Amino acid sequence: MVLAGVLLGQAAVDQGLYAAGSNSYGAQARGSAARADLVLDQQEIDYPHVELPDLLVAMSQGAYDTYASGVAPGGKVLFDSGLVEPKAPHDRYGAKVTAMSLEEFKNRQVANVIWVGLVAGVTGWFQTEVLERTLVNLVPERFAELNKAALARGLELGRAWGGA
Amino acid sequence: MPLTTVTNPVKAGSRYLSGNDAAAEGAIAAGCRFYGGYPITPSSEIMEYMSREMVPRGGAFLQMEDEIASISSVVGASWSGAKAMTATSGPGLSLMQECLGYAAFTETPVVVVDVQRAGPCTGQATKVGAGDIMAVKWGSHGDYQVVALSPWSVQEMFSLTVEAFNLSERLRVPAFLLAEEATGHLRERVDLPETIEIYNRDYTPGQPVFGCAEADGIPSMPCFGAGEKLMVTGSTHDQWGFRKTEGPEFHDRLVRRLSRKVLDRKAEICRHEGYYLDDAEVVVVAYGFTARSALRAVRQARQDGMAVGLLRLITIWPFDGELISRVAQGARGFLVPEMNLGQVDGLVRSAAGDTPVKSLTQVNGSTISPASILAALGEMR
Repeated sequence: MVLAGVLLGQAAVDQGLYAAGSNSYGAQARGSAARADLVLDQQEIDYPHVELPDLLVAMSQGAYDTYASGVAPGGKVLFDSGLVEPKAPHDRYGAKVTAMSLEEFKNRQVANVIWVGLVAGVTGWFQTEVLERTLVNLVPERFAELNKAALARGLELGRAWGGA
Repeated sequence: MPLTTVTNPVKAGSRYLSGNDAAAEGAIAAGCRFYGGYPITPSSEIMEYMSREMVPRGGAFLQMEDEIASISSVVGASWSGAKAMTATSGPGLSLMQECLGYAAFTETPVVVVDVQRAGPCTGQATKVGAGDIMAVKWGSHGDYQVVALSPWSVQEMFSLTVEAFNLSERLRVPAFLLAEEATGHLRERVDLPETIEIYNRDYTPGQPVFGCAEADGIPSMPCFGAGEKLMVTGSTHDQWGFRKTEGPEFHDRLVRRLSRKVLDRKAEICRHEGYYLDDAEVVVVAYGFTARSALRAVRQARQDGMAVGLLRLITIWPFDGELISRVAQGARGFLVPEMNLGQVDGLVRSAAGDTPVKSLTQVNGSTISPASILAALGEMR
């Protein structure tokens, strides 16, 4: 999940945007409720922490319960519909991403990369080729193809949502 | 010339770096070739980076048994001719204090990156604080001066590390990067330059190493092995390094020069930035990460019709009290938000004259939000 934040931030910078990212640190980042924040802008960012997010990805019920109500009016809440019980108006963008990572890719670790694809697909903020190049640079070589496939799957789903 | 322009040895261009990695790259760019340290949260990524990079770049890396040994190794490496550094956080800084006094008194260039966490003592190791402002200046006994710079971005984690090295080498003083956990672990876009200005220490063979004619002079610095008869002692010494533990004139001259060599150069050393100060009635004085919250709050307050501005301190030590006095003349009040119980607040008060100063303190291990600063500004309407 931390990797997903780094990946999106790095890709944003690689395509000329400004990015500022923070994430859970220390014991928090290992196995408990972890969080990654990202601020993107076309100009230099004055305040680098997220205040009123335009987009939330909730991979667990805990994350959804804690953060969904803080999303900006009109903002999007993406959630894992296999793990999260959503409430209106944040019940539109659900996908069983963790289940998908196990069933389609036999690898739970790629769930975060599917989410990266979903975020990129639904927002249209990222260039696919930059995202793919950044991803390949960040993951071990032997997992490159697996991750590219997971990214493509997420993009496909996200674009469908984006056009919905 | 000691100040030279060199090709930046780390990758130039737009990059996405963490603050701690940027500080390590800044050190490498400045010419650092010795790192001695003991890992401590939240600074450890700097040590990890340097453990990978020092040897391939022709330098040396030592993991010492504690912070006392770490700073001692850095002082020794500096006298062997290397630009040398360590990184730590509050508890490690406390252990380093005796040897930092030794570095100041022996005029040894050393750079310490202090990634501040919530203290005192062990405190909350992974949480942010800014409580070491006074510790870096007054932590060792006796009168001496240091340089301390306060980065507010990952970009400045790089550029101010370079500047800390340049000032340390030029002034022969310990120089601190007063970083904070929030900036050390922030990842941000940086735009790194193709070339970089670095200061290589002055050395003229045969010159006195610990004194000069000027009362605020900075002597030439050889290294061991250069052929000089070199003695380095933490006792009072004359210009050649001979111990002078009796004569009052030796101690007086040395202690005064160690302060004056920094304080007489404040105009060259001290840097700040002003935002919306021209017509500001209330001025927020902030530094480090808090200055970013302050800038956001000031912009919001401007939209709300308040005549407020931001004075961002980049140099903390030496403290530019004259700057505060100048700004005070046009201001109705100062607001000083800090992640401590008012350490810079006291310095601002001492220079603000009749202008009222309001302190906004937060020591709960998290950064001060723009909303908190905006609320405090609202109370000063």
